[in-house]
Amino acid sequence: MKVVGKGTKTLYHVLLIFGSIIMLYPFAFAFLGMFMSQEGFYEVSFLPIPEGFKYCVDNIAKILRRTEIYPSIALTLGRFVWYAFILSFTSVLGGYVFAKVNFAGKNIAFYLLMSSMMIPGVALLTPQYLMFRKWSLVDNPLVLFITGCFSAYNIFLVRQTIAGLGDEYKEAAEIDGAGFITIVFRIYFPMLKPVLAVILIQTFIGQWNDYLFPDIFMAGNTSWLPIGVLSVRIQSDYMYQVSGGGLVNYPLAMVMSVFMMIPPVIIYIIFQKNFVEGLTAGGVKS
Amino acid sequence: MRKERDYNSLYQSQAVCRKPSKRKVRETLKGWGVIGPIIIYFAIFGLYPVGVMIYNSFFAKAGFFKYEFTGFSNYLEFFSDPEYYVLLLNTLLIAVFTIGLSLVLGMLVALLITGPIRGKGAYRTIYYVPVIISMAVVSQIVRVWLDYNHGAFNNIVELISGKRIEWTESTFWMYFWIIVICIWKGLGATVILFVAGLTGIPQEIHEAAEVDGAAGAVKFFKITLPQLRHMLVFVMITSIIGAFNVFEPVQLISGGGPDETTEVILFKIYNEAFQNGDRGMASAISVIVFIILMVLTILNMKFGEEKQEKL
Repeated sequence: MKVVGKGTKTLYHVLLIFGSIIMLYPFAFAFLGMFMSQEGFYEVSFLPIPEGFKYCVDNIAKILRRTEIYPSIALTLGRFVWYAFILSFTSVLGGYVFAKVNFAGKNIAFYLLMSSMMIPGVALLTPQYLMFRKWSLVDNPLVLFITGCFSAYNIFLVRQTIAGLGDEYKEAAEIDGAGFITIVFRIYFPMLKPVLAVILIQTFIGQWNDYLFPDIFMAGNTSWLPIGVLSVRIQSDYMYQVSGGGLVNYPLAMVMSVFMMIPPVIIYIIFQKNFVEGLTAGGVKS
Repeated sequence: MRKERDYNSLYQSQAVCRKPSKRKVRETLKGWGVIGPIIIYFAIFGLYPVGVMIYNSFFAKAGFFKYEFTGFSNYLEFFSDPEYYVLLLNTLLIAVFTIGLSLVLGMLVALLITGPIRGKGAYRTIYYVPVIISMAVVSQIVRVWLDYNHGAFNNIVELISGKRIEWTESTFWMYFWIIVICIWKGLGATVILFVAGLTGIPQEIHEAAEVDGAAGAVKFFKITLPQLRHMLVFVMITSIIGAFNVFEPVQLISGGGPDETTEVILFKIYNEAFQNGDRGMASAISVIVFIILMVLTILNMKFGEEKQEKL
């Protein structure tokens, strides 16, 4: 190993810290912005200099009085629960079947499902809109629950994990007379915790931040907006001057931003290891 | 005793002969019982829309709620009318700058993080946080910075130059900010991939290079970069795909303006399909995006595999 001078190490840290400041700047800005008054915010330059704790309490109280955010959070959590359930269900069953069951046409089925990963989601927005409008699903809350009920990528991940677990469990359970469902959910399911954790975390972050899809498909039904869209609409209320109305109130927009950042950041800090796994898991070797 | 054993082996051999076919049927039922519904679901929500998209792309708007079959006219219009083909160039512009700068900055950060220093974990955590934040929320914060009268950045600019900038009236500045957020938001993922790649390079290669007298820049360009070439291609293609998905900063910061100069593909699809309602043209644009992204994704899967073999 090369010996590195103290000067070099310091240079490394200086550069990395400089980068870190830039990466964290928007977070710091939004956070400090909560402590500002409406007028005080107009003078902000590099970072808001907190004016007082009472402004923060006041600003948060004003946002909490927007009662539409509560059903919106409930809707978002409902979507998370539903997708956590259906994605785990389809991934575990699909992954198990591809890993441990030998059925006619398995290869064709596998490649057909994997081909879904090649279909770019953004290209399908237009035809989905046309379809869903015909089926009266546009502006219908149901539309928030019917797309994306399986993920070929997750099925693939689970298949790789189960394939690595060996046949002994399955054979032993079959000798004991366990049925298919028992084998999948009582024997293999508990062994899949790490990969399921990755799926759950990604589902939560994805649902919390979901913007484009509900923005298009629920555009005309503002009483059923997930928090990812509603938060942006609320921010816009305070960011653009209503003709003849009040002035912009940026501190409230900042409160909304911080509110949107907190859950993903907490999840991220708790489950950091899984994030890196999820990102580099792409090709768990077969 | 002997008899019994014979009977036993006979029974077993029969069982071996008969069991597989029965077993095979049961396995096939299980397999298709699970995969069948998933494939039907995929056909309805994944394949059918592709058909709807291609079908609709051959129709052009002819008056209110009226469409007539016009063959490839939408495609011809896309590639001949500057209003449309410029969308591809705009998307490409964002892609080129985002990719170029993310590769350089991502590599720099990855090299620093894998260097002989403490606190690697903390730095990695910090650089990755933006990845998990809603792009829409970040775009809104940037929009607040860029307010002409009360925005923080204009307050800074005025402090330095004495003048304010009409950010949203300038194509340059709008692209600048869109690209900056795309880099800021994606850098963490690039860094993690590069760190994985860098730590995957065998130590012997480094040592051999040092014995041969290679150091610093020479070692980086002759050893490190070639070792990471699959990773580089993978990150590049991922970023191009990402550029086609850029939407929130355009919608919330520039609104496609000034004068529609920052309109990107997805924003146009959004406007054509859901605002103005020319579903023929929106479908044709979608088909073009579909083909480009599918080719890129297939390429990426290929390089992704090779990248994994390298690691």
